[in-house]
Amino acid sequence: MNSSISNAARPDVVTVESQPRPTPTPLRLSFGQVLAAGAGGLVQGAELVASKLPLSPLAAAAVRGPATVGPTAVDSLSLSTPAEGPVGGLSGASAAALVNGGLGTPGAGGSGTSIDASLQQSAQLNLYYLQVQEQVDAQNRSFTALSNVLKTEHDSAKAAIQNIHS
Amino acid sequence: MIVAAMSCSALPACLQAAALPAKALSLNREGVAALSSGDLQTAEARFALALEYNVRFTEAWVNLGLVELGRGNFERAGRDFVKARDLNPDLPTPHHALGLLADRLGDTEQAEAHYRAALRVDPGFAPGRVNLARLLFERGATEEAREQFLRVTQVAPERVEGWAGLAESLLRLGRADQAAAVLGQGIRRLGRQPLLGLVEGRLLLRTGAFREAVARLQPLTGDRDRPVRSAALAWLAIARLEQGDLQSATEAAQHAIQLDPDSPVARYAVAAVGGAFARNTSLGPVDGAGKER
Repeated sequence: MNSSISNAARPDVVTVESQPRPTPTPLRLSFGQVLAAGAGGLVQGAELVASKLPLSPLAAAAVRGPATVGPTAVDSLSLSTPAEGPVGGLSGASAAALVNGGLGTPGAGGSGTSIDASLQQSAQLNLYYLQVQEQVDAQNRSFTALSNVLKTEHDSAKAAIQNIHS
Repeated sequence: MIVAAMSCSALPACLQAAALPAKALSLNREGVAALSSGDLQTAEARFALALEYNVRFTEAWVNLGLVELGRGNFERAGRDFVKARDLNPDLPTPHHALGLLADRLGDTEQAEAHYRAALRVDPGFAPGRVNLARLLFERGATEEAREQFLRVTQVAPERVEGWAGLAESLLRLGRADQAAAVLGQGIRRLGRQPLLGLVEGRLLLRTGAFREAVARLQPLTGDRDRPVRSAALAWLAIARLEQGDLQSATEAAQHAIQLDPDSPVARYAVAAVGGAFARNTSLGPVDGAGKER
């Protein structure tokens, strides 16, 4: 068995003789030169990094609007009527009526007047809902009737066609 | 900057309530005046008194929270704002105040959500829209920021932030001509406001009119608003550098970074000044102790 390392030429190794490079040497720029070249584009560079607006966060201090006419912008649902203020506390029903459909505002009377007005508006609302319900029912009846007529018409035509076929 | 937000009496929640004593209302107004002037102690006393008249006075809770925010008591501020929002979620100010708090704490995602909530309550609430647009601009959503600033100019044309922000957004989007047109509109409507002056200076810089840009930016370096002062100094440093005035550029850049260490333009100006200085002196950068590295 031959255990010596052979110096015979290996097919995957080639010998290359060093020669001067045939292409021109690439231009080498120092960091300082690059920086100097970029100095003309300072404004563009600054614009690229300008990702922050010169604005402070706007804080909004809350002030209640001028309390002159109409219900005041109070957050509570209190029914009490303070001595001061344009309108006494609105009852829940009347406030809802105002919000939903603007069915009129109660006057600035005493609590009895306010309750009467609320009841009246509540009755008006009930009447309105009743009318809407009636209209919907009538529409429903019309659709049912029409549907029945169309079904009968269709069945008749189908029967006639079957008769012709047979 | 503190803006007084007037509650809208047409909001549904505004209708479901009782009138507040006039004294409570006036105390709240006087508290806002004290808050605007920076007198937090007086402001706190007035808001607390207003709350003694009616503990469900939402605006007073918001304002009391703003006092705490001004002091850096974030936890207490948050408590007051949440209380206000729970009392009346149909007012934009509590949502907006929660946004301010998150903004201050650096949670911009949460801040954005709160500002949007405030705008859902009242789309005409200009401070919320300005703050939202600012956040969008800063997170790189420039197109959306432009849209929001444009809306600010429509809903609150008296607010300079809308015009300036819109012009800045257009500049960032590379639409300098449109930015110039918006700037013109803003100046015609509001006069030469500092924020608009900044944009004007930048537009002059873009065209290479450095002398005119310096003339426009220089007066803004004494503005009472810190971000405006810092931005003016940073852009002034750039202009001076372009003019070759290294000494003035260095001073302006250093001053700008002192005023706002987070300002990207100020940082850029400092770096540019440092580079120019190194080139001029043919020396490498120097370290903090002044020794050449």
